[in-house]
Amino acid sequence: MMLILTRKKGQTIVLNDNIEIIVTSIEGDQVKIGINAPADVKIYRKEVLETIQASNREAVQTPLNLQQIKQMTKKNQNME
Amino acid sequence: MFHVLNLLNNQTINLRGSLLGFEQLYHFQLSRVDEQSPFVYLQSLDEENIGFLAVSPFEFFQDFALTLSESDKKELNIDNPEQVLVLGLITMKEPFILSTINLLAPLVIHIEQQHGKQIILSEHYQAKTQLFAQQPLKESGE
Repeated sequence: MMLILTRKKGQTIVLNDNIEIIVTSIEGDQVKIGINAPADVKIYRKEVLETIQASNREAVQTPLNLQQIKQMTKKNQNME
Repeated sequence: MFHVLNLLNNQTINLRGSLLGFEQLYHFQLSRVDEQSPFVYLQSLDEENIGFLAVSPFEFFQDFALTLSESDKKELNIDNPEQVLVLGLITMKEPFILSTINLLAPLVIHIEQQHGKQIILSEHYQAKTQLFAQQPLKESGE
């Protein structure tokens, strides 16, 4: 379910009694948003989370690769 | 450093579903790749086909720094930096010297309590940083 609200510059939305989301400026297709929230509320740009997810997925190794990993990391030490 | 890795060698680390994209995975067995190397392998105990190669960013990046938020410290039961092992997940490339490390979202592990989580640092760190960027290439690569 998604709630859609209309807000103007300077207007605020309150979440859960302790989080305020303020539209601080609007310029063309860019909106600046101010957030007042307790320190333990995590706030991220969604792209950052998606980047990390993609990077984690790409980093996956299977146990079959383990022997190969040993050889590759060893080869690298010898080069130093 | 190796002392900490030896302490955790073959131990099970509970990452509590904190790996983004792998929220179903909790337990990982940490094992050293070999005795001379700082690399470790994290084998998922929940899904046998999933594992990760990882290394402490401090081994490769002298200026790497990390600040834990109060809520992360509380959640992980950490009150002293000595209690912590930091690991960056590696995306392996062929040749290995082109591999990258995730400095944006390292794993922070409580050494004694053997639990940890993937935390997100400030955005000036990259999810794919050249692992060997700060070391001269001794062989010509690509």
